[in-house]
Amino acid sequence: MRRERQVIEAVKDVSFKVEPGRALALIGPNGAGKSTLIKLLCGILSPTRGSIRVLGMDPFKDRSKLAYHISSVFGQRSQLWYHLPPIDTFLLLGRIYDIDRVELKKRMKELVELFDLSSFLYQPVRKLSLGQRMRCEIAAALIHNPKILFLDEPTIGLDVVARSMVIDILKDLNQRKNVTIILTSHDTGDIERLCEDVIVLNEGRIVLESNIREMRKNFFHTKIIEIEFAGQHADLDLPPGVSVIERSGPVVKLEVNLKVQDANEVVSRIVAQNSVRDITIQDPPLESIIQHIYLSGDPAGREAEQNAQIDG
Amino acid sequence: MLKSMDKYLAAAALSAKNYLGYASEVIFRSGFLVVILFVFVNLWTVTYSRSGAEIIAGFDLRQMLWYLVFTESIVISRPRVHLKVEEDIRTGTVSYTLVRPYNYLLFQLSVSLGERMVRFISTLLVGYAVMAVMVGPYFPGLSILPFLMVTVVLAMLADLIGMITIGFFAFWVEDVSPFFLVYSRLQMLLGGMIVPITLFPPFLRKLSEWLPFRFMVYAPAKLFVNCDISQALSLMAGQIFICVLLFLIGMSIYRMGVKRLDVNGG
Repeated sequence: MRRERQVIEAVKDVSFKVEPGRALALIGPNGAGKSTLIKLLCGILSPTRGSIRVLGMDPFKDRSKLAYHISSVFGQRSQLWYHLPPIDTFLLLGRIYDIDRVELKKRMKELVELFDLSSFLYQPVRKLSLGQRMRCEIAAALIHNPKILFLDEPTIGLDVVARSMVIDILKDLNQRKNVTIILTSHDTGDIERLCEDVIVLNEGRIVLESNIREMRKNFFHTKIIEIEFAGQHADLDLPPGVSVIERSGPVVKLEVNLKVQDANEVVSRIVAQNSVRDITIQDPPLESIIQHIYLSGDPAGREAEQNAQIDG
Repeated sequence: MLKSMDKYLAAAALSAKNYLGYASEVIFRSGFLVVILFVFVNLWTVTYSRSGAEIIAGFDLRQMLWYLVFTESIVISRPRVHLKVEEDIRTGTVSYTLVRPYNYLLFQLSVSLGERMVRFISTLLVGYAVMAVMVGPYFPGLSILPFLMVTVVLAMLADLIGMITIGFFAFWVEDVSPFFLVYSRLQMLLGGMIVPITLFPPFLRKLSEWLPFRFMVYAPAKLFVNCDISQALSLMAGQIFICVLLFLIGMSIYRMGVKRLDVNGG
């Protein structure tokens, strides 16, 4: 019997730069290397090759110095004390980060207002809802006024309302307080609302680095047209590249392949032939684009370029 | 130096406050001591009356019983910090603490000390009440109290550093319980928890004097019943030496472990 060693490169050939004040999403399927990348950026792990600079420091070597300027929220790992109110954790963190008492009081007041924590600040954490806990968790991570906030699945397990609130607060932090946000999430809705830039990872490599708007533009092959007809409508005479994907009473949903057909022409044609009460043109969800990128793997970049040329 | 220790003092205080949330455990733990003391009172009363000796191993019956109240309170108050450290390593939580500006060993030490102080005080109060009813009250001299408090804290610190160090073995093994079992049994037998080490045969006593366990259990309990200030000073010097030594060993093991840290998945 011999033990065999197998070296797995969790992240390889990765190179990117994030400007201060930006919000970047790291997305990818499970095992793509998103969390490893965050751990490398925080200084938890050290790269076997290459170099990383965060705020001009080597995150692994200067970990204790960098700790005062960055912060992290890892969705399922709490730093709140379970039996005690959140205020106690905030006060302890103030001592851990050597914050002056007057400054800490001011900072806590700001965070309590921003995260709307006043109604449960003195309640034991065990009595709080998951959404309230996550708000406290993020507030705790911001107590030392970090320049960069790393978030690994911050909205995991939250309901729609709580998730929306957390994302709104993060957006506010990013836009008004200029906190750089680097986030991983499986929820494309969160990513789209919060982040301007996206890096798609697969099997440890960057398969796409883009602005989210650019990505939408370059990867859209389809548009969804939803039409509500006024009364009965005859069978639709659809041109090539257009198909019905859903039909519910007077409402019909069409998918238009943009490589074959122009969406505006389809709309004009339908309006000319039918009596229409309402019509909307939508992009397909970001999720389907990302799924497409995962499935296509490395050629994603090339495909994006080709599509850009087609669109251009 | 004082400023950097401030965060650890705050963590210890918060941990003590947090542990008060476990009121039922505090009561159960203290109740368990009542049973143990009842057994010991009967056992040692019979031993002293059968042997006919007034002093055994330098203790009279009352001293022996108060000694046991103290040793039991120290040992029973021990939190399971080795399991907490083991869990932190197994689940990868320890890696996330690397990005916080504190020393993991010192932080765990502070948190476990805060919890242990609450447990110790509550257990000792119950033990004191039970023993006061059974054999009459005991008042150590006021002048010894500050020394006693310091030696108790140092004894607990040494023990907790030992336990945290055992927890660090989780960097290499899945389960640290066997190591802790050996540690706790050695402490129980050679640290003087059940019988004072002065009762041991010479070779065992010699062995006990070479091991750190007597500083964790026997020495503070002996001071409690003996109230000798000159002994207190040499005891504290020994305890500080043991704490520093164990801390250095613990930190070396932690540093070796962190190097091979493998954080799996998200």
